[in-house]
Amino acid sequence: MNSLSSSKIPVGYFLLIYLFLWIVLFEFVLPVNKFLPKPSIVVESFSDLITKYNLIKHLISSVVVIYLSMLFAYLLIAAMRSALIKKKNILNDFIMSLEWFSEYVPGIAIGLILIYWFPDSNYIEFVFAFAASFASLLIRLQILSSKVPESYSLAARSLGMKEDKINSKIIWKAVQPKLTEHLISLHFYLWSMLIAFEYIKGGSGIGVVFRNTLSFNDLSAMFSAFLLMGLTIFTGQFFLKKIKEKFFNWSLD
Amino acid sequence: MNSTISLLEVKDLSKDFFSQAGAKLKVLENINFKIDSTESGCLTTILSPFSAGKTTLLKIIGALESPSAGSVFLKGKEFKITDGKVVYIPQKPSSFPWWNVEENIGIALNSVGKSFNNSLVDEIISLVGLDSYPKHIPHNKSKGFRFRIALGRALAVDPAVILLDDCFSAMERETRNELQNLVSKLRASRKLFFLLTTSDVLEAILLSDRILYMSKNPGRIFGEMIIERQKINSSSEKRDAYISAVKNEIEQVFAKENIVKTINFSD
Repeated sequence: MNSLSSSKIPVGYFLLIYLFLWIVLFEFVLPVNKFLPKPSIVVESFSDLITKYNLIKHLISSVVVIYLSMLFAYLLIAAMRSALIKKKNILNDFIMSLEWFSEYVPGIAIGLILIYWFPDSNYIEFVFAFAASFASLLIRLQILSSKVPESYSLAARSLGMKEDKINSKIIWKAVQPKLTEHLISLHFYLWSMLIAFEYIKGGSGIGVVFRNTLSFNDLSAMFSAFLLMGLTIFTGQFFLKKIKEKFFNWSLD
Repeated sequence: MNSTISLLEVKDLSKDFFSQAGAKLKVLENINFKIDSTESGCLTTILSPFSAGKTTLLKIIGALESPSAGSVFLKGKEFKITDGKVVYIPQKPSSFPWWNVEENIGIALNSVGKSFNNSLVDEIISLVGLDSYPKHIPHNKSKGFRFRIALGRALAVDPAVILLDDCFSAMERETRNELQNLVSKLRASRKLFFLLTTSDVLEAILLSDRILYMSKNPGRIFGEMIIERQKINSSSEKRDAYISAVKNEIEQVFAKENIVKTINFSD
């Protein structure tokens, strides 16, 4: 028997149902309320977002920070891979201590300290996002590389391959699909942290738009910004998944 | 004094493991044997029960693990650092699934400082029976396919000895027969030296020139048998009679050691 939980209903259907309910409930049944804005006002507020709240500039700022920081962090990890994958060295111990630290101290706490140290810096958002991406990828690389089946390194060593080459050509390749999967999860986490960071610090970024809409009690503009942000994250996620499928599509034997 | 230098010599080799509580477990004890260099290549099999330390022994021979005592000599010189002269193929042969067949062979050439050579790569791919799949990625391919790649990589580095760690045990019968035939063919045509470990008596008889018997707890070599290849390759009646006689003899030897039940005597 097919239960509801085992049936595969595309998410798009549910989105259409939510949209339908929102239009019916908040356009016609409850046009004036404190919970959700009227759909027609949300549509109108898109132009406000661009003119009054300078959305384009702020959104571009956040997008650049997120994707450049992730790209730089990944490239730096890739460049340092041979040293980072080496087992039983002090760097490895240091990275694993970061993992312990990250379990108890949320990333935004580091963000607050950065804001305190550099309240007027224009680049501190990037530094924050880069540090968060780099630390997260670094920890994940350590965990993943320790889980690669021994038969891969044994096969390579037996062929006469040296340790640096085994790390950079075998272990690195073996972890890349999972590391890219982690990057996809990190992408959403990073957006959440960056929005909180920008909200607290001010200056530029989509977090600043949320702060301004809240200070003006502008629910419809806030709602529109949410929709645009969701669309941006969805697009980013979509491309990251495509990159994984296209370039890092193998699984270990 | 015998001045002939063996191709491979394992001398007084022992291996101990220690539990977390510090208890010592003797896995291998005083292992001694030689494989002599011959004109025609040779396949020597170490026949032993499951979990007798065969993998540990092969890893030590391949310089992938250190012994607690004893040494391994390759052509008279102590062999301690992997350099492609002794290639180990694990039970679960690992192809590198991010590279295609050609690239898997190419990386092996590269690892011993040879440049990628199209004709050599093609020749090796053909030798291991993958000529229709040079651009295939081994990801999600069968164990047999992956074994062929591992064998191809081994051939690429031109080793003195290839170590096969119970490679056929987890394969389906048909694939196992095909790959055993491939190994036999390569041994003869390329004059290769293989050292195989197995718990399967029939596999040992059908493939080997010589079988070494290994016991368990601790693992030690307690006897050997030379297989008469011409009888294995003769007419089926003579062959079956010979195989049956050899099996009986092996069964009796292992029975004396009280480990007969952990050896696979089935056909």
